[in-house]
Amino acid sequence: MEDTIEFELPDVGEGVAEGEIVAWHVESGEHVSENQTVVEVETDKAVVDIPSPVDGAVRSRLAEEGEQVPVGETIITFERDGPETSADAGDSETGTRESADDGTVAPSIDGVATDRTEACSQNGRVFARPSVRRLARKTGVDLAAVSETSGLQVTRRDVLAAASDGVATAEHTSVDAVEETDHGVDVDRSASSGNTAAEESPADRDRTLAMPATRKRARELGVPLDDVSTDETCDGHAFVGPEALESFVAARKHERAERDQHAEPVSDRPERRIPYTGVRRTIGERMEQSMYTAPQVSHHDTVDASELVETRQQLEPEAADQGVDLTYLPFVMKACVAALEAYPVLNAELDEDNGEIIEKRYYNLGVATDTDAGLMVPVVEDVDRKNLLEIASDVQSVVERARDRSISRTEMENGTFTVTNIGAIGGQFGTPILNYPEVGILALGALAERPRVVDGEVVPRPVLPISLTSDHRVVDGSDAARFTNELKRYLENPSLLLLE
Amino acid sequence: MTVVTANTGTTRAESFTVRASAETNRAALCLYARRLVSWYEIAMSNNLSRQALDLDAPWISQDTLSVEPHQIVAPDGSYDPDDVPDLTEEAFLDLYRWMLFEKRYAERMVKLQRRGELGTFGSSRGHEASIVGSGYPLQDSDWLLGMGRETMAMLQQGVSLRDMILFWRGVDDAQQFLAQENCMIGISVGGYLPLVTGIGWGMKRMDADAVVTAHFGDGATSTGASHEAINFAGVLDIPAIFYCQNNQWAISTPFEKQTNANSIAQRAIGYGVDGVRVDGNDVLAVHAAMTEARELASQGNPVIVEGLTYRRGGHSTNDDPSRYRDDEERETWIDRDPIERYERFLQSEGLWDRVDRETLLEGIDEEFDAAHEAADAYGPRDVEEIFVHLYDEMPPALEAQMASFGEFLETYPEMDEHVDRRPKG
Ligand SMILES: Cc1ncc(C[n+]2csc(CCOP(=O)(O)OP(=O)(O)O)c2C)c(N)n1
Ligand SMILES: [Mg+2]
Repeated sequence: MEDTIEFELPDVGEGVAEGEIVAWHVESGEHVSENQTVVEVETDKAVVDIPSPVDGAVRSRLAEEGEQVPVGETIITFERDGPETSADAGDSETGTRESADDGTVAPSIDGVATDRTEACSQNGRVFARPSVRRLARKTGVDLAAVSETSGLQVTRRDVLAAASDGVATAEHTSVDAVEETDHGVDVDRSASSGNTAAEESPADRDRTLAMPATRKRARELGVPLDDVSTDETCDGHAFVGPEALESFVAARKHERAERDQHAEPVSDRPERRIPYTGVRRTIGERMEQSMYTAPQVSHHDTVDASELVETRQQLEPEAADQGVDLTYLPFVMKACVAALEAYPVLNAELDEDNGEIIEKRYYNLGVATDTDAGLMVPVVEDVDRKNLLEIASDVQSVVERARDRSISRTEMENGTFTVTNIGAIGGQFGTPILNYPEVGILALGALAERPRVVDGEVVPRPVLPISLTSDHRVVDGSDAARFTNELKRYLENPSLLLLE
Repeated sequence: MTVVTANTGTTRAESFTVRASAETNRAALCLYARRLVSWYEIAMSNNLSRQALDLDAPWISQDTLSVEPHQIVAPDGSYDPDDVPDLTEEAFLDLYRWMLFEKRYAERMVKLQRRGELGTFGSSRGHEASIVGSGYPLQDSDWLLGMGRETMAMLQQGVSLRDMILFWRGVDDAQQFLAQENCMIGISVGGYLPLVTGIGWGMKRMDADAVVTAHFGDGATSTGASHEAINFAGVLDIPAIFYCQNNQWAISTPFEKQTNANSIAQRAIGYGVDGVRVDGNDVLAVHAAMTEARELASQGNPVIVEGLTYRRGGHSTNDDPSRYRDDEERETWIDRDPIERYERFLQSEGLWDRVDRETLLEGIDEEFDAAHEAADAYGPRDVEEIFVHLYDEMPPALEAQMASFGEFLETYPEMDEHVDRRPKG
């Protein structure tokens, strides 16, 4: 058994429930010394440096930067330096490394040696920890008898020693106890340690030889080498080569997949539980913040897009020659900028701390994008200083990068207004939620031929439904309506955009 | 002794607020909070509206009394050799070692908390001279009741470092171990000060050759309990020293909003006792003032000593001071580091050659490691403690209960899982 420390995210702020991993300061495999900062974590109280609890090597990091981790979840594992390993010898993993202390569970992160007092006897009566009691029952050891030889302090180790000595063994070795799940102590180790056949059950040795590269790979995979089954030996000890390791991992994966399949719950209300983490959670929290901070109101209208359709048709081949796929979106974005210039209150932010409304004289438009991971809003900067083709190619580029997740966080920041083209999927009107702290967001419905009254007659016309949500703390309904009218004016007469 | 309870109380209240705000309309809450803050600011600002009046009565006011802090070594390390207290070389060096210990202790405790091994911890960074200078003159027979930010003073009284770690793990046995050294920590701000007066009263009645010292913060001076305690100590001629570590902040409340008075020391007049303000970053000045304070107190003159210092870090490990105070303010206090100032003094005295800082630190780290290990080895609670805790000699009824409970657990071992033992940290 290796001396592995599983480090759980502590409650660093007296009652916090979770923390965000801000930045890792160490890599897997890196040697760390006790109290060296390994990760920065932000809670709702502060950003704090979390130090390593041991001198040792980082085995694996179990959370991503940006991830919200609940307190108590393991975020990193370490392999503690053995007594023979000097503090700076992190890479000296040779094939002869021995487990430090057989028969005890790995110390928990607070460094509590597990052979500390587990039971205490007084007046002939033993009050034992459940785990020690279980162990004693399983091994048929009489706790009271042990306490007579070990004094008042009975430890897990005492129980194990008594078990192997056959001393203090009660006659009634209970049979049913063997079936109990074991909490970390395998008292049957001697029976299983001869087991080297390639089976699914872990080999579970005390000592395994391997090349440093194999050892490193095993660490990355989070596989204890002592569990890997192998036929090879070296100097009389089990030896694990790279092939044995990989086939063990593959077998285990397969086994897990099988198990997962069979573990499908049988119920008349089948359900699947999906972790609310990562991007999903970030989206959720942003929405929550927006919804519960800004009172939001939506305004709807329709645009007669006849000229817009025509203009785009005219320009499309030109754009295609330049390698740009010209959609309606760049027109809308340009029109938005023109309308925002006329109604700057929609290109704004409420600075609550200073009690000021900030009107922004730059126009960075977010483009809500549907990605595999969920909604993302990459930003096209300075739309006012770009022509249609530049906007089109910028949109294309950021959207692609958002979809393949190569986009950087900064490219999704500093937006001043957002456009969401939900109509590309379908529908007409919506009540989009602000990309807080922005105060305006425009949703486009599906552009389609719809009946429209022109000069007293109902005729089919290409119609674009639009929905504008604004922050009612900053934007009045009348401003929202006027802005929408202005936007409409540009979209119905796209040649006006030439003047922009 | 309800150490952790008081703290969890605060936390629960906080988390309630957080939950409530998520559920309630946030805008309304913001508005409410802002009103509250502006009301508070108006209510707490200094009285600037006083106009020139022609007054005949013999008014006393803030300017009647000027309170100058006692100082021996100036922040730049300069001093008048005549003012230096008459201490042995060993004592001079000892003061240095203790200050270094306090600093290192605070650093390591913060790390332990970040590792999830302590519930919470209040760093004493910046207070080293105030703590060490105020603890050093105390005698073995003296009592010391503090608030948690005076560890070395308690260690000087014989408290073990292990027990300080246990205390901050929320292991309340630690208080009992502290009490064996006549030390205790009161988490309830100011709440324990009347007990200090009571202990002093007992000392007086028993004609003990001892004084009782209370360590508390500037925040505690606003509690009713502190007024009662000091006033009553004055009435009863009690051998008590009220040592206020005025670090100028009580969590996020600055000293100006704590009181309209210019100092804590001046309150001594109102309580009918003696008082002094001392530069809390000058270990020799604190030491000198506390030495005299002890002399006064042991003659039945209770005293207030105000050590003016600065809390460099957060209030505790769950606090982010950048949310409420300027970096600039902190910078100016970093320039007034108590340890560096004392190093300059030792250099001028020609004692610096006798200091091997690295070796000192190694020794301190070893002591800390050993205490940490011992704290880890401190086992979980035994069930019989419930029964043996209360009486010196267990009454038969309780003994019978203990036996039957033991039998019960023997018969139903699985019930043991439902016995909640002390958690760690
Ligand atoms: C009666 C009571 N109220 C509130 C608290 C929460 N609390 C803990 S410390 C503290 C501020 C103490 O400030 P101060 O007395 O200046 O001591 P410092 O922390 O600055 O050393 C408060 C309000 C408490 N522990 N007890
Ligand atoms: Mg204070």
